[in-house]
Amino acid sequence: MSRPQAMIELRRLFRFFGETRAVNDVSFTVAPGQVLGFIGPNGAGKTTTMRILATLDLPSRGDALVDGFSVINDPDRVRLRLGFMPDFFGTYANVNCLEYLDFFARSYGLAGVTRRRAVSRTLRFTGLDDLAEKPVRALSKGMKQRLCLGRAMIHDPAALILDEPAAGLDPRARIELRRMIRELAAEGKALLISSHILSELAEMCDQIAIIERGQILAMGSVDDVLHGQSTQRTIRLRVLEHVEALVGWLAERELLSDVVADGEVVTFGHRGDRREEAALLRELIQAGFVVSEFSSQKKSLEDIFMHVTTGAVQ
Amino acid sequence: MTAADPDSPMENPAAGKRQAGWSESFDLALERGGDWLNPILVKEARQALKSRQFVVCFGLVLGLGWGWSLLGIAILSPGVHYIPGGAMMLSGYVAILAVPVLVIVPFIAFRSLASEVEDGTFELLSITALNARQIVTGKMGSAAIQLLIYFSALSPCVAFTYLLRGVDIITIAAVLVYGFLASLLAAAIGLLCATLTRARVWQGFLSIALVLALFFFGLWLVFGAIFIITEESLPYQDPGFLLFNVGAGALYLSVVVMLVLATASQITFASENRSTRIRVVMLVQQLLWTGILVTASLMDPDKYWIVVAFVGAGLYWAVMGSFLIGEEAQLSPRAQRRLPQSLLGRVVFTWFNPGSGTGYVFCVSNFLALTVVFIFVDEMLRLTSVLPAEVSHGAWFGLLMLAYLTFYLGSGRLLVLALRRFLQVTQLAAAFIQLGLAFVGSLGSWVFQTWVLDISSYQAGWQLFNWGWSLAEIADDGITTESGLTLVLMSSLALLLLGANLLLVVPEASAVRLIAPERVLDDDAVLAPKMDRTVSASSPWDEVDAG
Repeated sequence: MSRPQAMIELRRLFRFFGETRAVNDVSFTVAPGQVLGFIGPNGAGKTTTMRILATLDLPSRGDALVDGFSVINDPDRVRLRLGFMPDFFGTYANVNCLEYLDFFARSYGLAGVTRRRAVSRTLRFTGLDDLAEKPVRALSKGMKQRLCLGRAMIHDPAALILDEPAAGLDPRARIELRRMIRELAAEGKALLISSHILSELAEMCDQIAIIERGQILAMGSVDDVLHGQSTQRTIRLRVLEHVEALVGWLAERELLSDVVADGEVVTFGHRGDRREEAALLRELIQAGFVVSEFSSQKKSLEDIFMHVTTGAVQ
Repeated sequence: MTAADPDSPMENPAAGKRQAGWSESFDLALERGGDWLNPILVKEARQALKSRQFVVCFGLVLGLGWGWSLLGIAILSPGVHYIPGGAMMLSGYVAILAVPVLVIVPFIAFRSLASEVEDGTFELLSITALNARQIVTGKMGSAAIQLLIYFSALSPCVAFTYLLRGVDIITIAAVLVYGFLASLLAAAIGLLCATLTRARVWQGFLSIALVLALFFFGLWLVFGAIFIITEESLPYQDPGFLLFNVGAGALYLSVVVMLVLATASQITFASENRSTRIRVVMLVQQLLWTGILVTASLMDPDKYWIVVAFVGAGLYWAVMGSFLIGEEAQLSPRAQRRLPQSLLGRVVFTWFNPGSGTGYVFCVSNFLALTVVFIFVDEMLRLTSVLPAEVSHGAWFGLLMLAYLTFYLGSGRLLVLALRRFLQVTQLAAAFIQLGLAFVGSLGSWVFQTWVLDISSYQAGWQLFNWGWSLAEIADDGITTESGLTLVLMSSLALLLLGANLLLVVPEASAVRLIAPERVLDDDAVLAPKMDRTVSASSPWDEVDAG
């Protein structure tokens, strides 16, 4: 049987809203067991892309495939293979957690023992088994997020799309969510996750894609993107006197950029390696600056995000 | 995920109930039966029965029912055994039931779908395996269950009225059945209204308009029911009564099915075929209308049933046609996998495919078929001397109506096609364009002749496009010089428009079946392993795929 290698595949996807190109020629794939972080500012086209994949919207051009099935031509087959957790809860009045999951299990065509097992397994996985009889609308935000994740995975889909799953969660809930996502990936599911909490994404994703104004700006593994975008490190200095003179001294040197002084602290980018950093420190001391602190760190995903994106919206 | 425990009572109730008694077995059987029910129905029933609104409403119906029983007995006493008080008592129960049955339940159906859209749960539903029709029928089913519960609350009281004198069992049954059907129809309309707009402001306006409409509809029905109960008994011994009920029931059913399909088409995924099923229902309605009116013509030939048939069908196809000519001929590859393939299949079924051209041909062909049938029936009645052998006005009327329908729908379609080259024209906008054309054609001609030229008699030259006046003239006086001229000119124009439209229909009619991709065939083989991969003909007009 010709089963595709990529569980999620976007092929030159476009989505226009009038003159606005919400998604503009986006292509990528997510393999089974892989977690792809989808990063971008508000209005970048993340949710539109996810909605097209979830068969809630149609592309203007191009196609999106889930397990080899087109979202345009075979949306019903896509739905059986895909779980979508949008950035809202979507709950019903007068329904408890058990009934809520039971309803969605029925809606995916699960019946009898299969359905009861799916509900039971989902309650256990999301840690909601003790709250099964609790009304959905009485749940805390974190618990609702778990329930929504449970709803998305009730039919054991091969691919999951999670739109801002960590938004508004406390640290413990975020750690729990991270654990659940890694467990799902370990089961072989392909996951596409969007989030604004970039540190979280860096830890749970195998790949990231940075999108802005509907276009992918950078894509690859977290390390590849970090290295690919810049080899620059950030150096932080604290000097006890002559801060202005130091700024002038640094500005004239090669390999340095973005020199910023804040009180006694001066930060700047350095494109050299560790040896060159050590040489710089030696030169600083030899030049007579009283250095009380010197630290160097690699750029974070947030730095890369700020570097790659312009913050422009359509 | 952790492994499931198949013996856990939660996962497998049968495991914990192997030694259970009949009540547990019954419970288990019910649960198994529940697996076959529409999930929306199960969910809505759970929600509705737990809601405070339902409890309060049910309690009020029960309380008022018992209250009216006690009050009625007090009023009728001491002669309750002799006075024919059943009609009065039943009227009271009908009034009590009217609010929940004719206002609350339909409005809840409306809110149920509208709130799914407002709360975002509709999107969650639409990505499940449920299709749009299941969602709508689930909500209709939930309305039916609530109705049955409200009826059951007053069933002892209604049974009590039969024990009193003054009302017969057929009247009681008819009032209850008509009430139930009217409420279901109102619920279906409510569901359709819920899909008309997603803007909260318009939803608010729609809510108010719907409540008012339901209230007045309910009031009218209650007064009608009370009149039948107390003043005018049903003519159930009249042979026409059964025919009327059968015909009306069939039409009712087709209207409800049409409303359900229209609602489902409003909420279905954009690449689905939204049109074919609705056209099938239109055809069924046309057949029903034809059958009912032909039967009426044969049973009571002296009446002008032929004109009634043409007026009803003409209005129907004008309204339906104004929407059909606004359709876009978008056939997704998925829909194209099910297109008819043989020559016969394509000739007959292509007109059920979405598209303005196929829609136009569908409307005109249906009305043409109806015209042929009624002219044939009319001629047969005259040949067999059941009717006088003079020239039939009805036949000319039908032909002129066919010409107007062909002309106006054809010109409306061409206008919409031209406008679509420059701007987006929705289906609703196309319907309004068609309405505008018919309005200008009729009223414009009349105003020009009578107000500008100051000529008050019918003039074929000026009133050629005035369908209202021309049809009235030919129905009243048959073929005269003026109306004959109108018929000839309008038929010529209609043929011209038909020809122009047929030329433009070619691309739509040329759509051919696509073969499903290998991945889909693989998936079908997994879902139904025993299914033969060789595609076979599914009907006499189907053909085996060459590929």
